[in-house]
Amino acid sequence: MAGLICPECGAENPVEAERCQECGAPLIEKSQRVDEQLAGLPEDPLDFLAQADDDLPGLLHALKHEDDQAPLTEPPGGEESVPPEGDEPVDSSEEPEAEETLPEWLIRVRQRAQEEEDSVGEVTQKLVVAQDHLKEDISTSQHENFSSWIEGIREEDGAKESEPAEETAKKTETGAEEGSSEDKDWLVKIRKMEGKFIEETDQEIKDTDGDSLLQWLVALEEGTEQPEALDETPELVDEASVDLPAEGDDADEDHIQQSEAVLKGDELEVTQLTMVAAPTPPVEQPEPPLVDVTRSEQQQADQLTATIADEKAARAVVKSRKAKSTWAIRLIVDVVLIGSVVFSLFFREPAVLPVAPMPSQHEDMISWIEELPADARLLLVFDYQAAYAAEMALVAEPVLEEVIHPGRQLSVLYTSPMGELLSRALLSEIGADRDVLTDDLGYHPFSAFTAYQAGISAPAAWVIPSLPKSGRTFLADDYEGIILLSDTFEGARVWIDQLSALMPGTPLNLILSAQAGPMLMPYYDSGQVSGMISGVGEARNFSAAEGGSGAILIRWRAYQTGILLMVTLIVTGILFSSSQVDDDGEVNA
Amino acid sequence: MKKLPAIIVSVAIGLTVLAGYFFQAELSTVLSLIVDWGILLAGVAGLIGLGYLAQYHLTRLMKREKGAFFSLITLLVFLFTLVAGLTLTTQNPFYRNLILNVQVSVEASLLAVLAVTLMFASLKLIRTRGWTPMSVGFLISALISLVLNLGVGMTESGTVLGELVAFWRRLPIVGARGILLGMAIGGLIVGLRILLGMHRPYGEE
Repeated sequence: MAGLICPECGAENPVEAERCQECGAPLIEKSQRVDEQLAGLPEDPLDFLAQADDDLPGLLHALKHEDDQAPLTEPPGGEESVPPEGDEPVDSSEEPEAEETLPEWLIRVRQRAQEEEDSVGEVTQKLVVAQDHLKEDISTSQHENFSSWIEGIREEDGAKESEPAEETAKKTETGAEEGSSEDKDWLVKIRKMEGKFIEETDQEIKDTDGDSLLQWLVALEEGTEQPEALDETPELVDEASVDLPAEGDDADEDHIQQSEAVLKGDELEVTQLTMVAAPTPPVEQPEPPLVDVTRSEQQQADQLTATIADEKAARAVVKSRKAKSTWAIRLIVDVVLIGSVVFSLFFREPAVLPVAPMPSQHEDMISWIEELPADARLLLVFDYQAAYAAEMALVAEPVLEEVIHPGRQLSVLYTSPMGELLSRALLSEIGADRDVLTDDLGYHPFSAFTAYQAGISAPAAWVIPSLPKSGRTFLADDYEGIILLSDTFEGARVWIDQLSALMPGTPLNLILSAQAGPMLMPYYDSGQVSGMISGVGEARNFSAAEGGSGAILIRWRAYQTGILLMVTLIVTGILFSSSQVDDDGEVNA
Repeated sequence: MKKLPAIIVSVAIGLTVLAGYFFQAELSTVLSLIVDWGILLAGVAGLIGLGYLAQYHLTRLMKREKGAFFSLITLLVFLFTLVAGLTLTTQNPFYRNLILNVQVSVEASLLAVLAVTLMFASLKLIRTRGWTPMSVGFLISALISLVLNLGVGMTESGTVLGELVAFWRRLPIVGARGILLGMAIGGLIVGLRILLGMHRPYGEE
């Protein structure tokens, strides 16, 4: 039954024949070459995984080969299929164990399969469904009687088949090359799926079309690497439920044409399964690792491959909606801001300010100043940073101008590192360093310690013998008042807490920045603070009420301009943000 | 057991300082000594901080790490300021103007940048939160405070506008009172915990 098919003339020869009985062409040499190539091929069809470099097309191809093994090795209808010499039936169970050669990704896939039963992804699920469909197709195509399968093929291909299958079979039996192209259409496809006459029928196959799940599989497979092969095989696969090796799928398939199917009557008899070497010499490839890959492993490998492909897939870049003219708008805004403030500073004439009602904290401070004796001793505490120097100078000037008069004595201490320089600059600006006697108490690093030390300045009623006597009087008993200049709420609060507890009889007046004023207002309401003034706005009222003409009145216009610009910017920004929110729809208005 | 001396010292000093509020005349000598120690330790801590800062920048400079150039500038300026301060002293007008004109300008610029940043951050409130009562209330409060600082509405009390302006001016104080009360109660509790040895900020818990 089985024999060797001559690659030259196609005649059937006995297995033991060395030369073709018809044409005399050598058979053994080519058979040996085929055997050698078969030995190089993986016995397990899933070994295509390694050849395909673990990619999705390779996996799918291996999937199809796995299902192709049954009809190829076990012909239906009891017909024998003789494998070539030296070619053993493909059985993955007989693969030699080579655990040490397993790739790392496969080991991980197996581990994950053991840990997670449902670790397969969407692609894998589709493959499983495709496998089921493939099995159904195979089961329906492998009827007990092969003729019915032939009839099925004819019916599916009925639109193209105009002649009865029997006649076509006869024509095919006498030689496929003698028949017309229409007569041998379906047979050529079968031969093509077996690896023969690919070149002849290539164009015809390209014209075919189909919509089965296997077509999707093939399209999925070849679409990733071989877009040109997408249309070559779909109908073949659909009709015959066997795989057509894709051209260029791997190196071996480029050079091997596989098997020959011959129709006898209504039956398709696979008379010989011969691997014929292609004219071009085979490319030597390294021996692929012998891997026993299960279905679940393969599915997870598919999932892994799909994940990698998804990660590498190109995605649309979200373009910034930033307007190109933003820099111009910013430049204009900056110029307007800076220009307006600078321009307003050129008005050197004092602003004419209406006399506003005086807050009670201002009135109390003025009252305290007016009640000060001519030779009063005062303590000035500088507790602000250099950043607030300009604001604090504007606020403190009108008060200190009223306080500092010749004959009075000032003691100065500072609790910020820059305090000494700042205090000297401020006092020299108002002429205090010339008019009054100043006593520099120095820098004290912590407000809390300093305030506490100032509060406990009372002389000790008794002396502890083992301790040194306190030789320095930090705060004189006869200070008529304390003026604290502070830029923060925390710094001022420490002084208020300590002095109001330790020496409640000493008046404490505050000169504050605008940010500290509101927070310290409750201390004035509670009586712990004698008077206070905070911020440029209050200093302007104070100066206007006292009839002063200091720097505060000159810079008031610039201050107003800056505030007005900030209000304008905020309102504009609110409107702009509101329109953007409406346009974007990100936030519901 | 190792923590016991530290606890005893801290609690004893705390109780002594607390007693100083009630027996000031009797304890003034001890309290002055304690405060002097505290100030001395604070000054030493400042010197240690300076040493660490110099060491950090010196290390970066020696290892030629990224940003070593700026470390070099920092060290040079630090040394210049130190030497000039020791030799010229703060009485020297040149030294005083040199430091003030640099320090005041830099810090004021940073503060101005902070103000502008806060303003734009308040504008982004609408984008991120939308027109919620909190965002609207925040922006309206900011606008009203700014307008009031312009000197608008300086009218005599008794009029409707005067009362309204007075109300708006008092409004921040209401929040301030709540914050102050919370801080006072929190400080009281922390002080009691330290005095009782339950809270030890000077060492590991």
